[in-house]
Amino acid sequence: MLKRVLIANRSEIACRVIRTLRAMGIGSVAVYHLEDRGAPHLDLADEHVPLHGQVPSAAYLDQDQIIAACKATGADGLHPGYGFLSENASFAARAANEGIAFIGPDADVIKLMGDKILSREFARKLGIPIAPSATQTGSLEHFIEAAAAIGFPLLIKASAGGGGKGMKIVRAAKDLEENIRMAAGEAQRYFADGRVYAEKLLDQPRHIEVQILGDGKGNVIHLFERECSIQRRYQKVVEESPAPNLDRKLRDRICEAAVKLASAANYKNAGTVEFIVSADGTFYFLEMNTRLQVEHPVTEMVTGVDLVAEQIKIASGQRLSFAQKDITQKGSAIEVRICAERPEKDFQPAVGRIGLLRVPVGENLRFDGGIREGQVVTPAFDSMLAKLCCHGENRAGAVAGLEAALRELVILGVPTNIDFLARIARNEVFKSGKLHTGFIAEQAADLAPPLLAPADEAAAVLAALFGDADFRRVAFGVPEPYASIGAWRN
Amino acid sequence: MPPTKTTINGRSVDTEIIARRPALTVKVGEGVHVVTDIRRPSAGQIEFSLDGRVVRGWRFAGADEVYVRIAGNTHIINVARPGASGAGNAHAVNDIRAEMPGTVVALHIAEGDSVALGQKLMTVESMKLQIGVVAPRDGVVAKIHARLNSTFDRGAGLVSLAPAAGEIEPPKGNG
Amino acid sequence: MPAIKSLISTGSEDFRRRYAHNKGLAAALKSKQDESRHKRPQRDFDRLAKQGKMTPRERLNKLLDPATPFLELSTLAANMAYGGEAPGAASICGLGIVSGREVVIHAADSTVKGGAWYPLTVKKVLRALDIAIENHLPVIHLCDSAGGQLQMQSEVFPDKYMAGRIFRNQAILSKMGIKQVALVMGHCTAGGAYIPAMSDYSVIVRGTGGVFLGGPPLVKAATGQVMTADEIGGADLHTQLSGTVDYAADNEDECIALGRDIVAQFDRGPKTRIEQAEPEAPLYDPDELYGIIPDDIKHGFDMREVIARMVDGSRFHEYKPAYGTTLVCGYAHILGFKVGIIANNGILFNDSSKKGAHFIALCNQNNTPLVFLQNITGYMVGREYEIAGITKDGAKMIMALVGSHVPKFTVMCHASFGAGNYGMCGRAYDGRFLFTWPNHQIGIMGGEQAANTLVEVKQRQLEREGLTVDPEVLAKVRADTMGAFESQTNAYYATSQLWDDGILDPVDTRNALGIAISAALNAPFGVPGNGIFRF
Repeated sequence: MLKRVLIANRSEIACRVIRTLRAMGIGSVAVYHLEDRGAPHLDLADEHVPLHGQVPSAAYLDQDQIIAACKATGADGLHPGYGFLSENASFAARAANEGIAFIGPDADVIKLMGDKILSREFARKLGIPIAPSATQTGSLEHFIEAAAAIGFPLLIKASAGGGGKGMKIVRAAKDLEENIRMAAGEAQRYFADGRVYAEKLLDQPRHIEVQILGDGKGNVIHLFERECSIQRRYQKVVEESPAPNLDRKLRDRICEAAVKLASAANYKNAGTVEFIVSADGTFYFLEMNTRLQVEHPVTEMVTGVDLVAEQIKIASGQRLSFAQKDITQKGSAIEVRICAERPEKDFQPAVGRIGLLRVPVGENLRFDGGIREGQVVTPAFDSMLAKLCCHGENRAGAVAGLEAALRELVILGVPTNIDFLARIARNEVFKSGKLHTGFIAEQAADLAPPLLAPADEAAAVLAALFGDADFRRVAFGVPEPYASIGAWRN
Repeated sequence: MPPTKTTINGRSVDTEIIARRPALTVKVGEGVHVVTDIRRPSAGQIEFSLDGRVVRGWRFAGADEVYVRIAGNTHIINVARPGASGAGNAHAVNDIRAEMPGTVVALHIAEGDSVALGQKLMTVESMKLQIGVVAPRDGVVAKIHARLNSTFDRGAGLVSLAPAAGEIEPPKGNG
Repeated sequence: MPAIKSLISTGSEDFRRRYAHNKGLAAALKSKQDESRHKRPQRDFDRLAKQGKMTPRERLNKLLDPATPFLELSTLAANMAYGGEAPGAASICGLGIVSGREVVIHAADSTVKGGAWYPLTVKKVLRALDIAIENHLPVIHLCDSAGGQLQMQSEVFPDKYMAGRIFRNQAILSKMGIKQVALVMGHCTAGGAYIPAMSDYSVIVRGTGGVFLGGPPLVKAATGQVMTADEIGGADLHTQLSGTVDYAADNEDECIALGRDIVAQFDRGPKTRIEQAEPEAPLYDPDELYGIIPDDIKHGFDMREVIARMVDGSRFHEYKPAYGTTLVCGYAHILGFKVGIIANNGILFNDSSKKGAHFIALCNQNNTPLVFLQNITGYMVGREYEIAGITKDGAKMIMALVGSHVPKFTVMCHASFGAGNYGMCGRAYDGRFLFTWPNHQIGIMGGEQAANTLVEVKQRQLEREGLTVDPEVLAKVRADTMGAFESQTNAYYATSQLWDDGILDPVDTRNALGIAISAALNAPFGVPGNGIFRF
């Protein structure tokens, strides 16, 4: 078993990993950029090592500093979390060369799954359905022709990308060329790789993914599916397990396909196989993420498995201690991502200082956060502040519990999407479980902030003013008998 | 006193105190409300009775905005502070003058440049100390009076900004 | 403390007639005040608008805390002077609340001759500053004045209680630690320039504010230089170069907001503690005062009925009720403040005078402010009363009054004639505030008495000289005397001359006294002690 694990990450996921390390009696090392001084993950960790660099986010990507930090602290394991270096094959290889257990799959698997074109080809050969698509192999003109042949609407994506960067939807042939060129340009800028590919855009598609655990010793199991269809700016905001209104047999077929893919790669670590599922029940392989997923807590809540603990055991060379038949889904769990953003302004990221933080507590609740009161939210990092998860005996219970918890949650000092998420939880279509990736756009009117009743507006304005020294002086600082006399003139 | 001007979630709302006895009566927007029993039950919490209905919420005042959370809805409120801009005398200053005698060692702007509040216009050296001369407001550089390496006396004009739009021309003397 | 039992029948013919009369007087007062405040040639308003300036009353409303009272003083000063061309004596003075602090506000009324100073302007401003000195109240000056009226310089400039006294008082205030803020929202020319200069804090509006000893015309006349007001003494010059003014504001709103913020920085010393209770409305409607006050100067009325409509809960602890009954004395609360009330219920006799002097002493012993309600035609005259010592008993009242260390307030309710004015704390007796009702008359004696006296004197003179007594000559003496008294004993003449702090609608008396008492408590009470009483 590993003795000391360095977490090459920050914020909530660093806290999340450290909690499991503590429970397992394993030492923890946090790294941080100056911008994150005072962040909660530093308090939780046994040790912490500063990272230096002009650009804060780049510091967490600085392989030299992180490897050096492992050596300096004697860490024999390295947990990359998600994002940053978590899917960087060369980093995984480098860690392995330095004798540090990288808590993730081998470099070649990362490389394979990290390339959308290669991974789709890998899946196709296994007989796993992939969406009709066109890959840019030769000239751009050639690719435009091939893309048009798929039919519209089409989705253009960066081959090396993710996170919605370089992604374009094309609904008519006349817009195709321009969009492909734009997508290629963005792909070049963001990922230094201008290759793009096109795939068929499904009508009201759902995003369903399967949680996988593989020990690299031939054992691969799935921990059922997660529904991640509620997205904005191509990023997930609400995730749940099990997926509502998903045919049991279809679900099993998707899970089997995921296991098949991971087995074929002799997968080691926790991983996620993502599918797109159309309303008619067809599904296509999208990609595989070779790391812990942001939304892993919903799987943990319904299966009772600590995925981080399993990651560490696998990285320590252990075999999976349970088999597929041991995994069952109990109840329903749902997660929302609390972000510093302005939903009413196209989810524009926001900055500020967390002045007030009150977190709801309950047996069915889980708040994975990496924030504290007084913390400054800067544009240096991702806008996600925390995740709030709720477990229920069934989906309705989980949604109701989540809605209540969102109402109770207080994060003030920076604009957040908390109220927007609560409105999703109250949305009738959402409650009925008829989900697809266009949900937020389709329900925009219902999800918009409601017009405040005058009395509620007055209540809010007065609540603000009653704490305002200038207003308080005017309201309460008038002595008698002047206060009693009021606006009298002689 | 004029009504207190606020914006709530981007909407303008004026608040005016109408009476203090027998209970605080305020006009918010178009509605008149009676407020009683204002309390702070715990840190960050505020509670009061509005027209007999209990309002309980959370409140945090940031540098510019006040965040209020009531019944699961967060509102962002800005409170206008009239007069705050004039407090430093710098708001509508057109002529930027030397606070001490010195030499211009660097010029960072040219005539006609748009400058922002706080932007460094020139660096001057005075008594072996280098000091940045910054713009006292947003504006356009109308004239640079002190050239590079020139010396100046205390009170000398260094830079003039063009009068701000809407500035009132002083009335011609009527004693 | 028992409530007064009113014996007034509001359904009586007397009540109705008096009500109609006094209601009419109150309406006339309101309309005179309205004119004095707002009636100006349109060009005066246009001129302000063109300069981007607010009217002084707009400024005042923006300066005061919302939903707070403003006790305006001497609203009708100069109403019978200068042919009526200086309404309110071209200035607005009063007591109000700014940033939670009680302050005196003095605003030049730039809608009247550019806020120029008339002799009565100076008297009114000096009175406001005296109020600030006596009651330790900060002063906010809203400056916008063309300076002294050159045509009346001999009545404005040279003497002790003329313009120079304003700046002397400013220095005294500052020395006493009583703050002053000048908000320069127009020109402060010549002597007026010293108002901001002598203030502890000052703000000037960029563009329209100017402070200079000589404005453009004077500078041109003296030096030949042609300069704008802003060039001679504008905001930037004074806040950046001369340091004469402390803050510059971009407009009047900002200037006022800054002024409010400056006042918010003031420390608040402890107020003098007197007995106080929760304010409580009178049991009887103050509106009924109109039906109580007589419609004839010669008619008397029971002052207890007035007290019942002025004090908290109409409760009154009457002192020595069966003795000296022409003077009603007792304790009550006005807007929560415990006061001792001394009210005339007829001519002052020996017993009522001694009771009054005694009660003044009791209130001093008890740290209770005194409120005088005047309706006095004088002390009783005649040999019998002189033998009983009516003059030395009146002197006792004056001695007790002047020796008082508690603040005193006077309301002129109906008549104030002769020495009764003195014993009942007339203007000369340093009461903190003195207000007049519109029906009131004041003089050394009543017009009729004076006419009778002078006719008597004339008749004896003619008889002494052995001339025939021509009834026509006597009638002329009578008519002339009556006429002169008529025009100079009425309340509007008194207030025009600033013999009071303003005419009050009787129903406003309670609030005015409440504010006046509260203001007075800002200063410590004086040193107890009396001169020699003539026993």
